[in-house]
Amino acid sequence: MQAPKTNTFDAIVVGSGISGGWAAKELCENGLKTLVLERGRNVEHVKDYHTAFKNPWDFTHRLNNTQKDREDCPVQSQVFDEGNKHFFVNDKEHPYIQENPFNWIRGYQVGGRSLTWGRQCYRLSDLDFEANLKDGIAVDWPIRYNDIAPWYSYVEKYVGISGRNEGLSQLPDGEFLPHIEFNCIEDFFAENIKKSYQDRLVTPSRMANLTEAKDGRGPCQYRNLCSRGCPFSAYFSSNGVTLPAAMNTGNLTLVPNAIVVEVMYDKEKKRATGVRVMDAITKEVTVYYSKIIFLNASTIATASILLNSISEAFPNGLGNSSGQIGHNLMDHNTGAGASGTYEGFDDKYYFGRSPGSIHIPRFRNVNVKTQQKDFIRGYGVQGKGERLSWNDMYARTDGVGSNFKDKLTQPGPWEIWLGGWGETLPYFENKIVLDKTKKDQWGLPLVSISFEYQDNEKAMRKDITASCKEMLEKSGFTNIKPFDYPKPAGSAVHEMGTARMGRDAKTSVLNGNNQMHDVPNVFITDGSCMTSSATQNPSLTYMALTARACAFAVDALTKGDV
Amino acid sequence: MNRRKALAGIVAIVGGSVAVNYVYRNSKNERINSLHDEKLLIGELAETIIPRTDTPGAKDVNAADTIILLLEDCADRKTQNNFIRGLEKVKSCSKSLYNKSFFNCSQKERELLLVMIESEEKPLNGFMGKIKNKFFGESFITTLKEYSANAYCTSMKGASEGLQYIMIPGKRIACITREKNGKSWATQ
Repeated sequence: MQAPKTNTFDAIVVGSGISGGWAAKELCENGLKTLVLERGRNVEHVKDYHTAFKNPWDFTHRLNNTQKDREDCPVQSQVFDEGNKHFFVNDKEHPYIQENPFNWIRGYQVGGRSLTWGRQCYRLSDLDFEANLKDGIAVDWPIRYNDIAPWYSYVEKYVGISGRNEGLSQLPDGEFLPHIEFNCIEDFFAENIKKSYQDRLVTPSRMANLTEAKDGRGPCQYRNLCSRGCPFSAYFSSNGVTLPAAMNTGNLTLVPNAIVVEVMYDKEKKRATGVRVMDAITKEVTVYYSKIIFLNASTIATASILLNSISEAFPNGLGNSSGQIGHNLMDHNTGAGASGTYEGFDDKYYFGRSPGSIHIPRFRNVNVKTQQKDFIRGYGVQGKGERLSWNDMYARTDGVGSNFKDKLTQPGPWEIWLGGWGETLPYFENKIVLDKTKKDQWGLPLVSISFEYQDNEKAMRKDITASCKEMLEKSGFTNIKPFDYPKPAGSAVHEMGTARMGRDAKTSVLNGNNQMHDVPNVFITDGSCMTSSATQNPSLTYMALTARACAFAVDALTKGDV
Repeated sequence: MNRRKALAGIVAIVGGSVAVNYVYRNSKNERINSLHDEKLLIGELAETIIPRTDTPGAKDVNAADTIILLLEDCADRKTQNNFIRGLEKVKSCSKSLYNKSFFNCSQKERELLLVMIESEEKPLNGFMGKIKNKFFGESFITTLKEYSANAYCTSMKGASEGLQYIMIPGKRIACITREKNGKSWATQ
């Protein structure tokens, strides 16, 4: 950790992932001297993407994970490969406790998980913002679609998102670049869904991948190697976009290897005063001061920092008078769906590797007609259509010799894979706590996660599998394989909810501006702020809420309100 | 016997084997070194599976080196042992079937031998198959085919001559006409 010249800033941002990057950009562009603290190492855009131009044969294990990978990283190795594993933590070095199986996927480096994210961007709608109130579940969102809509537009225009407007109330339109086109099986499937169903459609997934050059970035080269870091800056990441923008203002100080131990609080002023930081390498402790603090460490880490920030005024964690911090943990419920193959189009293929996929927006419980009796809320379906290739064909082809080789080296049948991303309800019992009896190498208490899906999610999974199977059947697919893998929660890497927004300080942590009810100069705009999970991939909402909260915070600071 | 009872029986049987395996789990598999002595045989086996035709074969891409490395570093111990036993089986079968070593068998004889082993080791489908693999490791023939395919299709020659490979497509054409017998893309 390289020490900055001063310890005092206008703003401190904790975390440099997708929401921290936005906070840095917005605050710096508004003239605030901003310190960004990142617990992991620095990753410089392009320069540190050392696997980006490697061919399969350039990798020792040809992109396969080793037994050692699986032993050292039993959780992360479920999602990484030899090409991107340097962007995931080592589980042995960064332990946590799983009261129930929970995959906590982490990327401790500058840019965080914005380097490896799925890049799908969807707006929430009033169907989502009003849901808790209508169902009498948890607490009401303190905002509605109109509050966030201009900020969605603001963020979309800057990020560059390819997609197609469909005019759906449950999945609002946005500001899109041209969408990535369907290949012939996706086209065929989309046509059939249109014919067979009144209540649903297939749309190109809305991706933070540039189909056209924009602001000196991109366009996409169709390599589909995004998670190694993009040397063409063709997908959105903090490293490639927001952090350089913040740096250009001259107002940014970025300090990697800086683990935030706690947020400090002044009981007289009723304000946070700064953060105590430990150098990840030397373990040296430094204190930084600022007028406002943005916590963007990611859902579980932000909650753990708050719970570790103990003072006389807040014996149960900073800003935790509601007792909600760490609770209401959510993830999207994934692992259920179906796949099927299609006999035909043998003379058709595609050129270029698409980083996108297909999306079927939520079609359950959208209106009275689509109301379900077994579960509330709904799910979006994500999928991909392609021709099977050698990595599927070797296991599906009997025999050996030149016939086997022909099958192995020629495109197999067309296949469509569909999976549900299901809304998970916020349950108080699904939570993280700190286990003070167990410490990591920095002497910080370990995070302990308890998480169980309940009846609503279980009933929804059954429907996901059944509806995916039915959509493939109605579209003329064969060899249909419904699936329902018991994947641990966390596998969608959409953790949310541990410091929720709400209207009442007694039952929520943040107000409608992502400002802590108890500590007005602390803002939280990562996934922990989410009051419900909705079905949509959440990053776009974090970005929009961050930009919105920054505007509010800058304004409040100018007026002397915080 | 109903399905539930059948499953309980299987779990009880493999439970025993798990306990035995546990004792050895933390020590390196001594037998794995013997794979290097079998490099020629592994190379011939891979070539039997992916022979040279109008495009390169497994031997042209030194598949044996990759297969041995994947076995050493990526396979679990049970899969490793199944593979080592499989090699012995190949040797003994070629003796008993053809009365000569595998090296002296024709491509046709070699193929017949591997197909015979494949039908014998044919994995169980579905849930039962998964249980079996979890406790007993992958079968010899499954691993041999998987690693031969991996070694070949991810090699420079295999990817660019046996299949089609472009590092930077630069554009996307969603639908193109495929030439008759046109090759598959090496990466997705």
